[in-house]
Amino acid sequence: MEPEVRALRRDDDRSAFRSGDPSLDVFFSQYAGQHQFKASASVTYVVEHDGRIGGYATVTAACIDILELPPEDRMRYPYPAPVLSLARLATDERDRGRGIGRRLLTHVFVLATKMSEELGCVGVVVDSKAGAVSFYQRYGFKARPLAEAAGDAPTPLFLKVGTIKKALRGP
Amino acid sequence: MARHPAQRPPADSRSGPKKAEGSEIPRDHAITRLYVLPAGSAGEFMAELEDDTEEPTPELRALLRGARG
Repeated sequence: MEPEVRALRRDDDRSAFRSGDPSLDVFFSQYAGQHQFKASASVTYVVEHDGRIGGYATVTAACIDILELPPEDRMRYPYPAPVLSLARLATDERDRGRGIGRRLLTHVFVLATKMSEELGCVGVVVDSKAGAVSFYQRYGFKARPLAEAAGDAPTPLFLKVGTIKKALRGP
Repeated sequence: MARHPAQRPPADSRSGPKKAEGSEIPRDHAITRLYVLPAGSAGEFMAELEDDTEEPTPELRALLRGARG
């Protein structure tokens, strides 16, 4: 049976989560709730396994803009272009190999298609850590000359929503 | 490379008093909401979005097989 994906709740115990990456663990235990419950700036989805959280994915609405786009081109092109940003994805190291990361990624792709149909979304952007780039490339994510506007994040990867929809439609 | 208006200045040029501890989310734990492409990429990126010849990878098809409604 596929593990259930649900939104993070205030009373979820996040303290025991161990992905092997301290940055992802600190984000989950200390800041995922702040982003979601205080700022309403993102939503973190989780999968439970053995009574604890086995993985999480944090998503937010984002956009891609063009540097110094002339005003006349702003009229021609739909920039800033809306995207779904997969801000964090991690699984507990005790739950590796159970398909939790794949289940969360599936949920994110379905969210992107819903977003495109209900409010607009041209694709999914993921700020991949260097060690995870090949994982995302398998699903069709490609490096683009995108820069995170505030400066120094890893090079983002992009997958357009049309390709996700095509995969959802089947052969 | 030109900066988008939302891009921050280099860290060493920031000024002003520091905020109280815990009053803001550290930079490493912030979430990106704005990405920028270089000037001149507007048409190229839009053409890519409109190109429907790209096929999903076998891994993407397999991943989403169970999610087809």
